[in-house]
Amino acid sequence: VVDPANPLIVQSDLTVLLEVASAHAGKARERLARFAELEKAPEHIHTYRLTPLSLWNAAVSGLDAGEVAMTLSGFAKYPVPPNVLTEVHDQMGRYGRIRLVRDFDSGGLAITSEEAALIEEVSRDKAAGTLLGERLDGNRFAVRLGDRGPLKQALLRLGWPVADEAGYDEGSPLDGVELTAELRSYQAEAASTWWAQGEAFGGNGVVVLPCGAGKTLVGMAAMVASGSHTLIVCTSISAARQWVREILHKTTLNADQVGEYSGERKEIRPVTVATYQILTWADPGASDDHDLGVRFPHLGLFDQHEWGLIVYDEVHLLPAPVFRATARIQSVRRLGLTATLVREDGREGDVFSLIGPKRYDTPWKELEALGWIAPATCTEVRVELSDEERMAYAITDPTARYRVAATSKAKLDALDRLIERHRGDRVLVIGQFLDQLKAVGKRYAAPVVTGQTSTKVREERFEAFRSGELPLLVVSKVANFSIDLPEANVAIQLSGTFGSRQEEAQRLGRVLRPKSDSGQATFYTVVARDTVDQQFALNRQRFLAEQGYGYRIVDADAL
Amino acid sequence: VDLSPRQERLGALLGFDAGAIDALLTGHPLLAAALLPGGPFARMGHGAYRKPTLDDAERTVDEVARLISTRAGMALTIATLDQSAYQLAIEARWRGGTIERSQAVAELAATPEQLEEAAAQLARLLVTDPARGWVVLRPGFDEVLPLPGVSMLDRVKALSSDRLATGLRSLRVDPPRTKPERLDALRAALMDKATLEAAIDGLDPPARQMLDVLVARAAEPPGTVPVADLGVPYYSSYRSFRTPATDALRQLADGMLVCIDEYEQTAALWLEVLVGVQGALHPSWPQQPQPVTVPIDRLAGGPTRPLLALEALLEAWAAAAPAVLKTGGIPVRAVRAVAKPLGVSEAAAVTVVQLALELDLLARHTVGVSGRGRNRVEDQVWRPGPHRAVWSSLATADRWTALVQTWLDGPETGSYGQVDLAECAARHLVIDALVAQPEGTGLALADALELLTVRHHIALSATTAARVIDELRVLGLVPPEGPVGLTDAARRLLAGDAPSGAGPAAGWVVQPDHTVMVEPGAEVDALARLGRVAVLESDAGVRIYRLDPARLAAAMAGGEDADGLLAFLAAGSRVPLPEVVEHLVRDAARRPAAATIGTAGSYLSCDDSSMLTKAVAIKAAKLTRIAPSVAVSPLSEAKLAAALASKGIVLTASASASPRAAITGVAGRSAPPGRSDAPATAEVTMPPTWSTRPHLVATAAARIALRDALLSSTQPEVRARREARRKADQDVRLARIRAEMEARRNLVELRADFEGAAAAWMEQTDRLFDGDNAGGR
Repeated sequence: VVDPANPLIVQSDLTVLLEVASAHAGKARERLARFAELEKAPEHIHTYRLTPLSLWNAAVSGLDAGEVAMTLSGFAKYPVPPNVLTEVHDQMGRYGRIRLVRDFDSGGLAITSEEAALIEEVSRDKAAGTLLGERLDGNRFAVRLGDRGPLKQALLRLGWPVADEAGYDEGSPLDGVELTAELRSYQAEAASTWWAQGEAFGGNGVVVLPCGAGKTLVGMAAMVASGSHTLIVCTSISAARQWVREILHKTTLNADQVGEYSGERKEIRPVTVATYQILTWADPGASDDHDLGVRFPHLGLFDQHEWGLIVYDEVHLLPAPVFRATARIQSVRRLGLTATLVREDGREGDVFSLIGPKRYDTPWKELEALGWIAPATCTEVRVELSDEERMAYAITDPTARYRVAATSKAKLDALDRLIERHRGDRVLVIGQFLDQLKAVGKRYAAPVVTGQTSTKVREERFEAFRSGELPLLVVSKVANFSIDLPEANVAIQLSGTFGSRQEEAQRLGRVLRPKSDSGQATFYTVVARDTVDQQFALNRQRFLAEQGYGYRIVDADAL
Repeated sequence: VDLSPRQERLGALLGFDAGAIDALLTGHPLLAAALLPGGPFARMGHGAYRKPTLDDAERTVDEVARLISTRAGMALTIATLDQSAYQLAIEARWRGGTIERSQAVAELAATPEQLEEAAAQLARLLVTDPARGWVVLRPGFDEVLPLPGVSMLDRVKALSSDRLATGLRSLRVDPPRTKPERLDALRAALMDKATLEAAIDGLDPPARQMLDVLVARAAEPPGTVPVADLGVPYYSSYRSFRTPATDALRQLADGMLVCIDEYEQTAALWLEVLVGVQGALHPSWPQQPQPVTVPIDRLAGGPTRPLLALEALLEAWAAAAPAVLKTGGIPVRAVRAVAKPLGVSEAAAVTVVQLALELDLLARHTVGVSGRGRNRVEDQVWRPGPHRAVWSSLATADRWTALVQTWLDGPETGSYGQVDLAECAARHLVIDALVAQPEGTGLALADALELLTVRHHIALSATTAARVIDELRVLGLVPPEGPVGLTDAARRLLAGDAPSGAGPAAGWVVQPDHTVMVEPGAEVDALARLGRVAVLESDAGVRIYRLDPARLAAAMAGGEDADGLLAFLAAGSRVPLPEVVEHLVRDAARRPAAATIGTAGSYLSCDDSSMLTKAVAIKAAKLTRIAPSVAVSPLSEAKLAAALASKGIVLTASASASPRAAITGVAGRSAPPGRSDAPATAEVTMPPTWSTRPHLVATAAARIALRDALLSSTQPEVRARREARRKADQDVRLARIRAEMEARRNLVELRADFEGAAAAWMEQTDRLFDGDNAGGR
């Protein structure tokens, strides 16, 4: 049976395609989002995927396989492949057959199941079996508190998601904390989906929102919901201070209650904002054989205080030691925040299993349509290498060619025209190579912010840019994440980290914060034609293209 | 009356009514298919003697009678029987060709209902004659129904009467007088449990142990045991060669308990002894499986995958043709090598290659000659054959139908186009079993195999059935994975309503992330073209391609052009083409422009420089001079010659006879992918081996035609026509006999003349006989 009016095409490989132009697309998306993960959302057809995790998560939230099947069949354009319905029934039927509970006799944890064969199968598994303690009785095995995370991971890999009914450590209470800012509808929805009314199945997971959509506020809403001491981990000192400022500005907390734990300060307060760098600082005197706590002394921050919530900002950047530390603290509520859950190392699965499943995601273009992020146009500007550069490029070792192409002088000529075109706008020039950035800074007498710039100077320059004192700021990759420059409306990218998709999206994100005059954001990426720069650009643009951003491609001469 | 099988079947068929004919052809699908023009039976025979295609007038009772009474026809009939009917037929043969109902109910391990059903099936398929009894085998079947072991019935000639008497005496039974009586008595004694037990009790312990081994091994195929496995180094009936084990085996052989093949050095329990031991020929009776049907992915499968695989094969071998083996075959390595590009398993690749050969889409091409004189060998490769252009001009539906029908009618064996009937039967039986399942449903693979092997356990072993199912998946009739059932498209194809290619939502969506989402139903040629410029990311219903710079560049180098490709993408897309996609395509087109490699269609070599200049001046010839005496043209050899001839330059096609100019095709020339030299508007003539006739429709038509023919065969005018034809045949035979007689008389006279030393006139004649010896002297 074919119903061309319906918006969904359910594929036998468990992907679900949503035709945006269909009249029923909105309703279908609303239902689909409860049990399928949004994979990409280009202009016409969005791709969702039914994963074991998304289905288990749906089961946890009370959805049953029948409802999922009804949604799929009801909105489907073609008959739903039977294997999809079988998989839905099978996967959703798996959740909860193994439970992780408190063992009140020992005060520890135990896993149990009503199916003797299942618990036997699990206990005989090589990975999961070693994480189980003694058999307490017929169908119960003891579990050490520290093995809670690894065991859940191991069982997840086995295909038997555990219903974790052991609950969370409530942590020290954070009395009287309230938000003073109003949450937008999607922020409220994201926070409440994560919190799940305080039930054991909530309180962990990842919220994915576009840059500039206000993830920080979602983190603060989570903190208020949990009402407990909170550790926030973010990417840099600048970002940490931004968090502190936001918390003080948008909650009832005062400066004594919010601390910074970084290379510069070591404050541990009811709400502490730390950086990944300090947590992963390795003691030079310790070798790889040493215990994690000895090698990374600041990781102890996770255990030293009775946190009731840990917020991981830019969770897609989670470094390996923090992964391992997180595995040990599964009794603490966890929230991951990101705009681009794309890890170039492909470890998205680890994020899900340790922080928790994706709880909320929404297409960028949808928020743009609602006016919560600025509408943006993306343009690829192509420049031609000069004959000398072309020859230099040709004879350079292939591993160094990108640098030759990315730092072409022709890019500066194009930059001249772009800056001229955007005179009066707030322009960020972003690049990878310091020589190039310094040359740009010198050319336009603009300040440059790089990793070598001290935090204090950085803050001053960012502030000057925010206030409008500086119309042009040249930044390196230090400004890729978590830097709030709301009035920037033009970003010009000269070079980047090869083909990194998430970097491109994050850089666009610098100009996506809604403008006070509801103005348009403009993103340029300047690319050297017929070089690896152009090839990398193709890959870099993929994430944004999948979010519905169509690039215009123009020749520099046509500017 | 001692009728031949053919006469007997003819008589039976003449008594059939329409329902009985339909039941016969439904139960025996290959018979129905065989009656089709071009069907499997029509392709039996050798070379020039291949049986001509039947026309409607010949599709008569006589033809059916002939087909089903041949040894091959009877074997195929048996192969179609379900296991229950098969066992009942064997039981009848075991009892001399007949079994009564009461006897069957009393002696066989089946319920009366099972027996009735089996008997009805045997009668329906003309294996038994219900007019003569409950189950009475028709003539000829006793020779083709194999007993499940070595029976004395099959070795009567090898057993002397004295030998039978000795056996009887060892069983303490007085031998009757005649050999048939002795055989019956011996078989009865061996099948009598008490007598047999007494005989076994009388054996020496080593012989008894050996008998236990043989009983255990008798149930396993092949039923015979090498004597070495029994501890006998070598067995001979001569008593001079003795070991304890040999003595034990000899004791069993002398007691007529064991049959020994001295040539093969194997021993087997006489089937009669096995029946005596286990109490019945078939201790158990097969149960009809009751498989549970499950829904299938109705949209999966279809023509896309098989046709794309075929296209990929043809393209791959056009670009890099594998050598023809000295045996004339295709190197296994070449088939394996194409499996990956085709996106199929190696086994599936074999099927695709086989079908390409049977469709004459692949042919041998001579690319050179090596050696001289006696050692001269033509170097040949497998390349797309002359039918390739015709194939490309067919619509998707017609291509798929031809592909499926070729599979149903094949496979061919040998070099004379004979059909492997057993394999052909297996394919038909599996298809018919799947057609019988409710629409939109299928069976789990294990259930499907059980059903097929019980229903047709001779024609379909588990291995054969599994292989046929795999082939059905390759052909797109069954979903590529999951339960086994015919997809909607497959049912439409078999019912004569093949999907036209353009589905309700045909076309695609080109997205800014360079993906092209193609909904089901797109034309295969369009998909093939997309496949050349994009990477297939998913074919789980909607096919998702991602335009890929490397592939685009390769396609551009192979003859694709940016404008054409963009026009193609835009024409099929339901949304405007994104700008980034346009840039992607144009970028790819720009890159290979720096240096290009192409193939010239023909070259023109000419010693006369002025003539060559004149030829190069002809625009239509598209010649480019690359040396003082050589010019090249992208045109094919024939087109170049035509272009030159149109302007008055007539060229010879060979360089050997000192021509004024010579034209030679450049070896290795291949058309760019996706293009064909055949004009798109050319009238298409289907090669004779292809059929776009849908299987079920044609089979049904054959049934109707046959039924009409059968029903009309009893009418006076049809009888008169048959009588006239018989008379005409007789006249021809008489003429031939007369000619032969005359020739013999001449020879007698010649001999007499020779013996009498008389003068004789001798001459050579061109045609002495009109028959097989035509041309003799």
